Amino acid sequence: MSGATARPPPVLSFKLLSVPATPFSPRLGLARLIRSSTEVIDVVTPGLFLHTSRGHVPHLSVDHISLMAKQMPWLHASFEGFLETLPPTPTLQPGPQPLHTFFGLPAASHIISLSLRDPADVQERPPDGDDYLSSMTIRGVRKIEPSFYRSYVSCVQPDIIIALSDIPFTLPPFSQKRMTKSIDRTIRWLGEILKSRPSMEITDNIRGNNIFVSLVGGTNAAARRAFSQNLLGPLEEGSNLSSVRPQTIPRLDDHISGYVLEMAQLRLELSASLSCGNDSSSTKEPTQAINQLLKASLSPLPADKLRVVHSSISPHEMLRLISLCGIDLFDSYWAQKAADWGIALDFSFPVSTSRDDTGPTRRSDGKRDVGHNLYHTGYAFDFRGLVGGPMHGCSCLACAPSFTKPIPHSSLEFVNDGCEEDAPAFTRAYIHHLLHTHEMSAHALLVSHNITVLQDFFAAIRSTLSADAPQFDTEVARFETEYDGDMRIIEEGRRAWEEVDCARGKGRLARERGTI
Amino acid sequence: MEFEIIAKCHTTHARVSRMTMTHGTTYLPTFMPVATQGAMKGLTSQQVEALGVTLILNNTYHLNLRPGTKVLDAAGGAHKFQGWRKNLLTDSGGFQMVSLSSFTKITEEGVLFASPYTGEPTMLTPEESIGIQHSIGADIIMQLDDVVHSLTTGPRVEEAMWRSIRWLDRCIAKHKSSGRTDRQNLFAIVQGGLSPDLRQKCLDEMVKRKDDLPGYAIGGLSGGEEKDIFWKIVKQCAEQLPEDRPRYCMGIGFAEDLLVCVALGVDMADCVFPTRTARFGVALTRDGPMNLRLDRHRTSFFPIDANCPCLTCSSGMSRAALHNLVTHETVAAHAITQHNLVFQASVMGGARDAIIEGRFPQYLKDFFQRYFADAAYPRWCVDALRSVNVDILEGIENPRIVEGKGAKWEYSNKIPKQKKP
Repeated sequence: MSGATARPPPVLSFKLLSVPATPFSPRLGLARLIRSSTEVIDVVTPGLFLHTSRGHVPHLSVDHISLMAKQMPWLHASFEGFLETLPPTPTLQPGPQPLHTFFGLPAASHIISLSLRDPADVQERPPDGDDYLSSMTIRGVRKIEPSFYRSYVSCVQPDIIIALSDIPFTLPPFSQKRMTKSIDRTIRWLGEILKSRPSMEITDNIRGNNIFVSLVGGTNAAARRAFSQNLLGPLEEGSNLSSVRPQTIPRLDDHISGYVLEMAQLRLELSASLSCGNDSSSTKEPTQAINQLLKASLSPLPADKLRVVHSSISPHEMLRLISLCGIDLFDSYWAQKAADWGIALDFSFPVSTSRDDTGPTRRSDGKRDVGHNLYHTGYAFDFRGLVGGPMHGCSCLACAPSFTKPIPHSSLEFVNDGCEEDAPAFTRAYIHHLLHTHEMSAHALLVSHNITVLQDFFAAIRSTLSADAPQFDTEVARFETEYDGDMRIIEEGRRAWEEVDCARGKGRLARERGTI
Repeated sequence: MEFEIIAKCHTTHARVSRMTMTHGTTYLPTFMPVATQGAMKGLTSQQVEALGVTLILNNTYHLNLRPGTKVLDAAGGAHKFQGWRKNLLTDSGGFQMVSLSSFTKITEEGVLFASPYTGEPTMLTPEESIGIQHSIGADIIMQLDDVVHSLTTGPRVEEAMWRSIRWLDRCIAKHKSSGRTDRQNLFAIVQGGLSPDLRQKCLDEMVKRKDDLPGYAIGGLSGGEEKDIFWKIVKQCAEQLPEDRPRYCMGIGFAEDLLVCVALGVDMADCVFPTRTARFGVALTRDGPMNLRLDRHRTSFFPIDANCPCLTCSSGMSRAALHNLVTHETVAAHAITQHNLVFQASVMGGARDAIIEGRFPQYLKDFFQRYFADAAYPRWCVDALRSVNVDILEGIENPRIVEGKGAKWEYSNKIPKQKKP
C-alpha cells in the first residue's frame, strides 16, 4: 500500500449520447477512462468487456489479446483465483499499475475491473458471515473479510472495483430473513470499501471513485427495490465526513459509478423459485421475470449511470436487456464459453434478408442456430471459412489471419523474406479436425472468432440505435423469430466436447475404441 | 531440394547449410518443432512462423487417422489445411505404429497393426506410407522403416535393419513413380540398433542409393540407450553419410544433445520435448530448465529470460504470473510453448552464427559452462565433444562431472529427491 505512488487513480466517466425516452429505453453512451491527459480509453455502449480466468481470456495468448485491445480494451477479473496462497501474489507485484503488470496488459490500452468472486461461477459454496465472504479457491473455501479485500484492491489498483456483495450460493430458495441479511451486509461492506478510497478526500467530482456495486435482492422484487433505496441513503454512521460538511450528507450512491447485475446467480435462483411455485413472479415467463427484477433494482436509482450485466446467455437476452432495461455493458462470457464447446458463432443483426445457405442450418421448427457446432461430422469436408457469405468481413484470427515478421535467430535470416501479409482463412474442416483431435489451437481460433462476432453484433446494435431507434425493436423481434433463442446448439456442442474429452482426455487412442 | 553448405567449423564436424525447398529456405542446423496432428499445441500457424521457425513436423500416423487422406486430398494437402506456408516434414508412421498401437506385427509386406478406432487389423506397407505422405504433401517425407526399440538386442535388430533397406527400395520406387520428386524429398533412415557393425552395413547400403535420396536420417536412437553409445552411433553415421546431403537425427531435443549432435555433423533434429514440457510448466533457458510450478517462482516478478525475444518474455509476463496459470489455464501452455520454441531456435541460430564466424568451439564451451554452472558436466558430452577436438573443460578448475545422462532439471528443494537411476 505504501507502493501506491504519486500516480492519481484513473477517472471513469459515463455519458449518455442519446436521451432515452424512459429510464429503461435503449440508449447509446460512452464510458471513458482517463488515466492521464494522454492515456484515454473509450468504450462505446451498448458494449462489451471480456470475462477472464486468473486474469486471462481462456485460450488467448498475450499477443492475441494485444491485437484485440482496440476493440475490447476492458477485461473483468476476479480475485478468487489468487487466494490459494496468502498474501495473494498480485499484491506483491512491484511497480505502478500492479494488476495490469501482473496480467501483462499495458495500462495505456486496457481497463481492468475487479471483483472478488467470479460472477459466472454459481457453484454451491458455504454461506457468507456477517464479517466475511466465502471465497472459492482451488485449495477450498477461504473466508475473506471486507478489510482484506479493501487492502487487496488498494494494493493491486484495478481501474474499477466491484464492491463485495453477500449473494447466497447455497441452495435456493432463500428466506426473507436471508434476503434482509444479504441487503444489510452488502450495504455495510460497500460503506467499508468507500471509506478506504483516497479520492474520498477530493470534494469535487466524486465520480472518480470507480466503484461499482452489485444490485442484490435475489428474485424478490421488493427486496431488490429496497436494496437500491438503501444505496440512496447516507454513508454509514462510521463515516465522519458528515461532521465536516453537514449540509451535504454524502449518499452511498454518490460514490458509485456503475451498477452490476449478476445474471448467472439470478437465473439459478429464478429457476428454483419457478419450480417451487411459491413466488409472485412464478406465473410469468422467466425472461419477463428477469426484466421485472432488473427494473425493480434500477428504478429507484439515477438513470444516467453505467449498467453492467454479467453472464448473459444469448444474443437474444442481450438484445432484450438493451431494449427493455437499457443495459449498457455486457461481458462476452457466453460467446467465450461457446468456443470451449466447439461452436463458431455465425449470425447477423439486423437479420440478413439475402438468402445464403452458408450459414447455420435451420431446425425443424424453422429456427436458425446462432452458430456452427464444429464437432458435427458434417463439417469434415467443409473448406469454407467460419462465417457465411463473403459480405461478412470477420476480422478474427481464424477468418483473417495474418503473418507478422518472424524473429531472426542468426545473421543469415536478416536477408530472408519475412514479409508481413494476410493469410487464407482457417476452414471449418480444419477446426473440426482440431476439435476431434483435442488440439488446443481449436479453442484459440474459436474464442477469437466468437468475441469478434459478438463485437460486430454490438457495433450493429449501436448503428441501428443511432440511425433509427424505433426500428431497433422491430429488428429485435425479427432476430428472435429467426434465431433459436433456446441456444440448443450450445448444449449439443458441450455434449460433443464431453465425448471427445472423455475419449481423448489422456491422449490415449485406446480409449477411443470404447466410445466409437 | 537445393542443399548448399555455407560454412564449416574448422574444429568440429559442424556445418551451416542452406536447404531450399518448395516452401522456402531453412538454414541448418535447425531444430524442428513437432505439430503432431496439424497444429503446434495451442498456437496458430501464424504464431509459429512469427517465432522464426521455418520447418515443422507432422506425424503421418496421426494425420492418417484424422483427418485422413480424403480430407487432406480435398484440402489440397497439409500445408493448406493447417495454413502453414513454410517447410514441412512428415515421418513415415512406423515409429508410432510400434509405440502407440496395442498390437503390431511386422511382416515383409508391411506393418500389421490394430486400428485404434475399430480394433481391426490394418496393414501399412511402405508404398502406402509414401502414398499417405503424398496426400499430406510435406516437403520432406521419410521412408517406412522397421522400427525396433533401441534397447532390443539379438537377431531382430539385424533383421529390422535389412528389412528397412528393402523397404527403402520400395519407398524409392513408389516415390519415383509418383512424379512428385520435384516437390517432395524422400529421406532414408539409417537403422542398425546400437551395433556399429550393423550401422556400418546399413550406411553402406543406403549411401549406395544416394542418387535417389535428397537426405538421410539417423533413426533408432533416443530410446533410453546409454548416452555414451548414442553419441558414438551418431558420430559414426554423420561421418559416413554423404557430405552433400542433410543429416537428420530423429527424436533429439535437449539443448546439450542438440549441440553435441551439431558438433558431430548433424543438421536437423526434432522432438516433442520443448512443447510437451511447456504444457507442464517447464521453461527452457540457457541456465537450464526452469520448472515454473515450483513455489520458488511464485514471487519472481521478472520474465523467464529478460533477453529473450519471444512474445512471452518481451510482453513482460513474469514467472510469478506464469506460476499462477500453469496447469490451470491453457494460456500458460501457449506462453511457455512460444518461449521454448524460440529458445530452441536461438540455440541453433547461435550455433549457425558461431560456425560461420569460426567460433563454434567457444560457443560450445560458453553454453555448457553456463547451462551446467550449478550442476555437473555430463561425462558423455565431454567425451563426445573431445572426439571432435573440443574440450569443454579447458580452463575450468575442478570441474564437476557426472556419469549417466546428466540431463538438467529443476527440482523442488523442499523434499530432496532421490536421483533417478
